[in-house]
This record gives sequence, C-alpha cells and structure tokens, in this order.
Amino acid sequence: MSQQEDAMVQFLVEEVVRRIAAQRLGAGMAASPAAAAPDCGGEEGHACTADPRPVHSVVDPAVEAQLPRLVAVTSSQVAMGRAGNRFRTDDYLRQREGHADARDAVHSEVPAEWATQHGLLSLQTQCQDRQEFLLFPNQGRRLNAASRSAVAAQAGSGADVQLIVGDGLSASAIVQNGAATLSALQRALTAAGLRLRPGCFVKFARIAVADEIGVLTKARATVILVGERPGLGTGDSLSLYIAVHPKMGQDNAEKNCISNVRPIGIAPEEAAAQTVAILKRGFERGVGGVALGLGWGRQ
Amino acid sequence: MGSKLSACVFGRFFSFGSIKEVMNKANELRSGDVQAGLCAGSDRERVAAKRVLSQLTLQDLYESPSVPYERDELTRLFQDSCEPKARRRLDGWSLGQIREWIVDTRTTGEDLLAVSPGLTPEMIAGVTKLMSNMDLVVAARKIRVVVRCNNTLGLPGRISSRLQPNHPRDSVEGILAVILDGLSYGNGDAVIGVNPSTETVESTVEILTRTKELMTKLGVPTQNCVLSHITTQMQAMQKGAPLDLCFQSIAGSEGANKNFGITLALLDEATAMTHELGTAKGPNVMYFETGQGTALSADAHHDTDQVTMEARAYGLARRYQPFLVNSVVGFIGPEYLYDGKQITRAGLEDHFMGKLSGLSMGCDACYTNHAECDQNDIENLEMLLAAAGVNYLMGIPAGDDVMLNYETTSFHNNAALREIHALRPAPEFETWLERMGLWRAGRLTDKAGDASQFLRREDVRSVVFGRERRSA
Repeated sequence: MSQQEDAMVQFLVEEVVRRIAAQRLGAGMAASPAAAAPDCGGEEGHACTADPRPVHSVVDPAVEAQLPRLVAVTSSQVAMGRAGNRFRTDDYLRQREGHADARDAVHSEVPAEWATQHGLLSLQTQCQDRQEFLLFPNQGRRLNAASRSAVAAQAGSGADVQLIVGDGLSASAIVQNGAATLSALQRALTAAGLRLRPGCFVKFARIAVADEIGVLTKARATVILVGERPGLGTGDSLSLYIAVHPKMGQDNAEKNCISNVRPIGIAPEEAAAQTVAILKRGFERGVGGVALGLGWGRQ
Repeated sequence: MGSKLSACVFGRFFSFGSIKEVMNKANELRSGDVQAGLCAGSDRERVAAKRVLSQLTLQDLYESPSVPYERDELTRLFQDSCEPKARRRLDGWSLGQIREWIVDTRTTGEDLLAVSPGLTPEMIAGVTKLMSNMDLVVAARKIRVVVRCNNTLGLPGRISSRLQPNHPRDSVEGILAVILDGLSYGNGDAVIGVNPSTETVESTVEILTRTKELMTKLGVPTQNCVLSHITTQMQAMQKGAPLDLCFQSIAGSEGANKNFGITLALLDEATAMTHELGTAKGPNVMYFETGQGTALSADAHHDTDQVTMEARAYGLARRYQPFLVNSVVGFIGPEYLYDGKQITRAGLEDHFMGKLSGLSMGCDACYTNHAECDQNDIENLEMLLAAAGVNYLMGIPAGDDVMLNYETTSFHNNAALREIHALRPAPEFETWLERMGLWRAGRLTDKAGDASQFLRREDVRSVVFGRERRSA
C-alpha cells in the first residue's frame, strides 16, 4: 500500500471514530453514570448507585453559567467545590462508593454458563483461585493442562483470527460489555473478509494467555478482550489486545491495544473498526505493535 | 568472600551464595520479589541479609553489577560513566557506616549530591535496603535538586504538581476543562501532562497544540507534555507541534526497555531533538516515569530484586538531566506491591534513590483498585513525601483517573499539603497565581477552586469550546 493509501485508510478510520464520538457526545455523555442508572428499588446487587451528582458544588462561582459546560465535556469530577482545602462531604462519600464498587468488580466472577451461552469454548489458566490470580500473574498467562488439550484438539490451519475473551481484572466488564464487543468484532472481521476460528473464554486470564492459544491454534493473529482493572465506578471497562503472528512471550511493544471499551468510552463498533485496520496493516507488513506506525501500540 | 556472606540471627546461621543474593534478600517484603522467587525465606533471613549487606563496601557492589556488563547496555553505561573520585571520601567504609554518614545531621544535601556521580545504582539500592522509612525521609529531605524549564522546580519551601487532565476519549475540550479546574486550585506548576487514550501522531499534535494555546492565552508559566510513545512525540515535534517536555517510561535493564520500544540510542536522539525542536526554555526538557516491578513484568529483571532494578532506571534517567522523574509507585498492581504498607515503603525508597541519583523527583502516589490499598493509605504517603521534600505529586479531580483507571492524588490534596507544611508553588507559577487573584500571603484565596472565572474571557472560552472538532 502506498503512503497515500495508508493515509486514506487512517483518515477513514478516524472519520468513523469521530462520527461515533460525536454521536456519543450528543447522546448525553455529560450525564454521570449514576444519572443513567435505573432505580434499584432496594434490590440487592442491582446496578444503581447514590443520587446523581449535582452539576457542580462550587460555592458562589464567578460565572455560574459556564460550569455546566465544563462538567459536560468530561467524566472527571470537575467543579467539586471545596471545604477549605478538603472535599465536600457528598463528594468524599461518592468516592468511597466508587471505590467500593471497583473492589467488588475485582472480586466478581463470570458465571459458569456464560461461555457456552455465547458459543465459546470454556478454558482456565493455571490459577486455582482469584487470590493466586492477583499475586502470580505468570500462572494467569498459561492454560492448565485440560484447557491446553481442549485447544490443541481443535487446532486447525488457515484461520486468520482467534478471538479470545478473558475475565482479567473485572469479570463485571465481561458480563456487562463482553457480548456486545465480541459480536461487533465478529461482524467487522467477517465483513473485512477475515476468517475466524471458534472463539474461547478463559477464566483467570492475563493478556499473554493469548500467546499460548494463538500458538496452539496456529491462527495468524489473536484478539483478546479482557476486563480492565477498574477505576472508580468503571467496573465495566474492557481492553482489546491484538497480536499478529502470535508467539510465546511476545513483547507488549509488538502488540496493539485499544483500551477503555465501554458504553461511555470507546464503542464496540469503533473498537472493532480500529481492530480491522490494525490487523490489515499488520498482515501486510508481518508485524504488529509500535513498528506498525499506527500509533496504537501502547505499554 | 565466602565467609563474609554469612550471619547469625537469634541462633540461626544464614549463608548467602553471592552479593546478588544478599541484595535480593535484604529488601523489605514485597509481593514482586515473592513472585520472582527472590525474597528472603523468613524475617530472620531478611535481617541476616541486611546484616551482611551492612558490612560490604561500595567497591564490593561496584564489582557485582546485577546484570552482566556484556549483556546489558545500561550496566555498561553505569560502570563506564561512574566517577570513583566523587566517592573517594567513602572509600573503605562499610555500607552501615555510609548509612550513618547519610543521616548524620552534619552531612548536607550538597555533600550527598557531591558523591552522587561516584555511586552506581547498585550502591544506591544497597544503602536504601538498610534504611527505615523515617531514615528515607530524613535523608531525602536534605537533597534539593533544582531544575529549570519554563519555570523552576525543586527550590526549598516549594512543592509542585503535575496536572493530569486525562480524558477517556481524548476529547480536547474535556482535557482543557480539567486543566482549568486544576489551575484554579493552584495545580499544574510541574507540568500539564496528558496520557492519551488513543495514540495517533495527529491526536498528540492536537493535544499539544491546544494545551499550549490555553497556556499562552492565560499566561501560565508551566510546561506541556503528551505522554504518548516517544517515537510518536518525535513525529509530532517534526510536524511542528509545540512540545515543552518529551516523555518516556523507562526501566532498569536493556531488555525491559526493549519491551517499552526504546534503546539508549533512541533516548539520546529524542533528547537532542527536544533541545532542537521543543518549545521550552530548558535546559531540562525530559520527563521520565518509572516504577518498581516494571522489569519483572517484562521478564527482563535478570533475577534481580525490584528495588535494585528501580535504582537502575534512575541511573539511566540521570544521563538526560530530566526536568521531571517520578515513580508511578502503585500503578503496576498488587503482584508487585501488595498493599498500602508496601506501596508506602516503595514510594519512600524510590523518592530517596532518585534524589541520591541527582534527579528532580516527584511521585505518583497511587494504587489500583485490585490492590489492598485505599485513599487513606495514599494520603499518608503523600504527607510523608511532602515531609521528605518531594518536588511534585500528581493532581487529578478527586484523585480518580477516568482514563487509566487508577487512583492517585487530587487537586484538593495538593492544596492541603501546602497548607499542612506551609509550602508554596514554583516561584514563577506563584506570581501568576497572585496575578490571577487565586493566591495571597502563602495561601489560596476564596476565588480558588472555581474554574468558571477563567471563562469570563471570550478568547479563553473560544480556546476551550470554540473550535469544534472537524466532524462536528
């Protein structure tokens, strides 16, 4: 592909990204997640939080009309006001709630039936439990013996992409956004003429478990979507890692990452479009990551 | 040497096979060393290793680099650029004696900086392993490393902050809104530094351009920076983007840096380019981030403990006389630093080791939500770091980074640290705050914490909101 064509591909992808971003902004990105959450009616485990945050908490602002504009363009907690040099009580407690939500996401699990419900082969790494998964990442990078045989039994040749779902550091993210992201990827990759292998789900998964699965299945590339480590109230965020010509111990610099895939971050369709662009160029050049020059390689 | 490497602790005899094993096992407990299989097997063995270490000399450590000279360009850099003359006054002393000299009230920061060029990272890590948390505060507090870019950092009685206005989708309007909010609390004198979510050259150029435009409109004496990969920033500079500070994450071995997509040659090239094409006055124009566990996570730690590997990252940083260096101490997760106690210890170690390496040290006192840590732990650490004379901390709304999904220090906390310790902003920035009516007589005024005051001006509003992105 010539430089001009490269630029064209990049422009088209960016155009899609911009359009989707504009739509999302129009669709009330400004509202805090709490504002969009349904009332839980006191039901245990329902996805509600405290009352929506007020637009701002600044006492006696200079130009009050400007504060909603600032608040509208970011999900960061701006215009919080202050009690001396400390937080106001409501904001302080809101942070504590967000932290509690994140802690619970870390310790959540994907239900046993989720993989089969979504047509995925169910696998597990060498971790026995979540504590081991948190403390010994290497064990989350390799399949256990039974899973290895299950994958090896299905290995074929000629497939372009192996799709993998891993719980990572937020099973809640998989439960909430995994299905939508997976199907957006399946649609976009198939439409781009790429051949997909049957997908799999890995419990207690780190990103690098994709290396072993890719090597076993002999796919030309792997795409793993994993639950990100949650921020305050962002237990629903996913990342995609894309590896061309998978091999054991492949450097992160040789992979591309799209992070923050969630309803108020990067939309599944947008992430899928970026994935297609990355894979196409990766296959052409036989490399991925920083060397691809797409700027999407991240540490 | 064999007989030298053994000690008896409460009736148990411990013998170590190498200086490297002594160094590894002398660390305070942390999960990264456990994960790597390098830590002491018991508390008694840990203290035995400290006892043995306290008897070694700097020459012993010089002769035992943690990564072989032949296999690592950083080891070659450290060994070849080390100036033995600078540490002559410490010749023949044991590490235990050197620890006492460091904390001696008669030893000044100037004395410590004078020996610094003679110290390899292994020496700096070695003495750190013999120091308590309060030792680390006492020693670090003496050292002031003053650096200059568009403003001045590191002067006594001052503390600064990096304003970190990250946005999940890199919306420039969103980034600028957070900048205004942070400035209104007196944050942002170290740098306005944005971590991009989607790293294209175009978005790096756009963020640099728009942040610079806002800084210029408001006349803020600070630096801008976009923390994309260094090669992305180099392309942005070549396209004429206004870049003050050039950033890169670095680690303590050649292999770990390869995992970041960098080499010494690339860092040399980027530094030269920033001096040539960058928009800052300088002379200090580089910004590096580090963090214990980085080398292990890249499987490039060469069976070395994570304190020593971190000291090696500082050994690399000092080649470039950076304006800013900070450990992102709890970012990497509980498999390296398990809880608030381990994160606090590491934050104090990193700050001291960086300063003894002659660096302008800040700290991202932070944690991820899968660590056993909370905001109270991080407030403790930042109060300790302020007592230790840290150059800067991070400033984020509510301490919550909505793009990188981790928790750090807030605009409010940075303001409170100035209140607690009677500290002031960087001098040029302080003058600006006074001119804006946000700071008077050493404290924030009632106008502080209200970003709307900047939006009285139509020209500022048009920088923040006026130019919609091309598609809109």
